[in-house]
Amino acid sequence: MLSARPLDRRRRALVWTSVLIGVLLFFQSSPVLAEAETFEFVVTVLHATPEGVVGKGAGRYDRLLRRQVRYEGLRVVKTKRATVATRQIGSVPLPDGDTLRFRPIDPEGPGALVAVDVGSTQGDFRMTKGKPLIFGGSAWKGGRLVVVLEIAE
Amino acid sequence: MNAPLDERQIQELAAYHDGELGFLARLRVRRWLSRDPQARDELDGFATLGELLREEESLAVIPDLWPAIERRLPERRAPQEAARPSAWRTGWLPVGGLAAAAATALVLAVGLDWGDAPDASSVRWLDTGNRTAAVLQDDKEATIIWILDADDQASRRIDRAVS
Repeated sequence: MLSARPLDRRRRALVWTSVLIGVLLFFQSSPVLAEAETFEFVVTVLHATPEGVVGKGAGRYDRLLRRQVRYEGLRVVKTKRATVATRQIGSVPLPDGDTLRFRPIDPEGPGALVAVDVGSTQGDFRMTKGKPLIFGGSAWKGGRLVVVLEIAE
Repeated sequence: MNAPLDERQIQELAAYHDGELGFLARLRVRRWLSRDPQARDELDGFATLGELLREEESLAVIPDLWPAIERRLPERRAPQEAARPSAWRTGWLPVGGLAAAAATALVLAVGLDWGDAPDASSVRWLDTGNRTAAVLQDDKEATIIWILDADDQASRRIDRAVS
């Protein structure tokens, strides 16, 4: 019975080690195995009405909206937090029957490029932490629905 | 036969024509132009349109209407304020029409390319389907997009007709 010479064994071991290192390096840099970055989103749904007052939790949004849109009352209808990774889709049903869908495409600085779909409106937005993205205007219960999407700080 | 250019491609060509694209986006458009005759035709169309517009501007005599408009402003303000309580629907129209126009212009100016936009703005691409929308604000503080319902748009048309 023939046995491999020590030189062959050493050479074979060297080849296998090289292949192993190569495979490890490939998978380390491969986006397939790269860990998806996750983002914590906060969705706040508000109801702006022609009468009423600014309700609890709506003050921050009232300061932003009042300069742009005319209304009297503003109250929070619901708030939801969702942790969504890149290439995953977050989804929040809205009171008017529509659904807010958002999908972080790429991490970017302190935020992400996010594809958002709400009702018939869709777009890509570069979102940064703490900066709200506000969609408003849909008629609902005698007022307007306002949907706020933001990445939690 | 090539597929017709879509809205985004036309916007990109318009931005290229107007010199609004960044360095990398310009290079990309040039590469595209070098291999797509349809895009080159579209760009030629922009150039022709620009020349026609410039000719039109040079021919037009624009009278200064501001003094006459200014004289009428106080008269117009009173009836509008009186009508406000019953005009709830119109009240939803953006408070600052100017702000809306500026914001919409900002969206167009921002272009569709990630790298070309100023840092503070968020809107990269926006499609509101068959509804009209205004980007009321897009700065470091917030991005506000307001969808105008059919009622809003009808009210706006009535406002225009009345004025």
